[in-house]
Amino acid sequence: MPQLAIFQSGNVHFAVERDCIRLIEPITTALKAASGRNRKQTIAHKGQSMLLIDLAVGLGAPAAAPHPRSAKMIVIKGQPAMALWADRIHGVVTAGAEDMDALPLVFAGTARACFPKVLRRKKGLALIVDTGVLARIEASGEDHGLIRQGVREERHAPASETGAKRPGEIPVMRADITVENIVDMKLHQFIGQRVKQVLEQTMTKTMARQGVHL
Amino acid sequence: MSSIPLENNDPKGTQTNAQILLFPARLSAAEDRRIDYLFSVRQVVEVLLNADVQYVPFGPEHAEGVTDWRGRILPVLSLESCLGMKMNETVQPTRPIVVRSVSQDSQGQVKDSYAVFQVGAAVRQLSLPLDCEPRDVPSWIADETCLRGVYQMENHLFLIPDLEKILDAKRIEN
Repeated sequence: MPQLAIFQSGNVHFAVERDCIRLIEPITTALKAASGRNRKQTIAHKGQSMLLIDLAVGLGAPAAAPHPRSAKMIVIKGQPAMALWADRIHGVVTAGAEDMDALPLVFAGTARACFPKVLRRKKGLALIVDTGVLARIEASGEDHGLIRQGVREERHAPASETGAKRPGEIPVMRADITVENIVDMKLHQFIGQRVKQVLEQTMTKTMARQGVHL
Repeated sequence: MSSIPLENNDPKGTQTNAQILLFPARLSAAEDRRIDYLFSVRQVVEVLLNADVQYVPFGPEHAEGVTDWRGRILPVLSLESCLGMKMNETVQPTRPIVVRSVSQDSQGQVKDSYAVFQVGAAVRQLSLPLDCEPRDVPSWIADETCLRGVYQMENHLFLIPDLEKILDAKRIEN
């Protein structure tokens, strides 16, 4: 049964698998003073750049508590380097399958990809964070990016097409972007590139035979 | 769910005395009429005193969060956002209600869908038929596809949400 670390960002409770955590350390006063709370910011940590994600800010200002002294950052293992802002850490619980339910399907796209399950506790619900998906989405750095769990596709499109309604909001994945569509597009790209290579080689040989050199 | 006749159009009178529930919408009064949502008693499973709503980042605009209802994780939806209307935050107090919609999936299997709506707390229960008349969907409702009908009675406007469409079985599983 997985062990989950429960933390709170603003008024919302989240859970992260303990095995995904590299370390937990206080957010320095200097960082709080310099940058304040942002949904996503890049910080320097032990000689490398790292994304610091504040999930409460993504819900809007009312959910974010202003600079509590106990604020910590949960540094996640793996790449891209990411840490989660935690106003309070409530400890570690061992959760069975019966304690977890899938997030309702109405939360499609980014929400469901980042928080696929909900943990039921006596003290209330906690959203279980898929740190790998969240890190990939946040590291994409593009409001136009369309992200699907396990599949990443960059697309340059007007914001109105992506469904992003608020600045900095990760757009909901469009229903017409499927694995099949992406494979089809990649296949066309490969075929296009290969055809171009063959044409170039053929042209070069033909011109050489005819004594034309460029 | 079948439509809810507000006039007694059934010649056998079997719809007489069917019970409906009215809940104030979280909207400012429009056209000098108070706006209520109308549900069949069969659609409203429970009226809760309160619900601990867990907000979900990156969620759609009409989904306010999730809540635990009797061991089930249910979405908490905003009817106002579903209909494309701006909510009046000053409407107080509010109360969460658990609603249920029955639909058939592509295999013909009957499926229950549940969700929680936040509505005004002043619930009224009435019997059909009502002395009211149907009217066109007002222009200030941006998304009329989530409505089954609109009726007006004196200084009241009744909006009948299309629960089957709002709680589309393809989108919500419980």
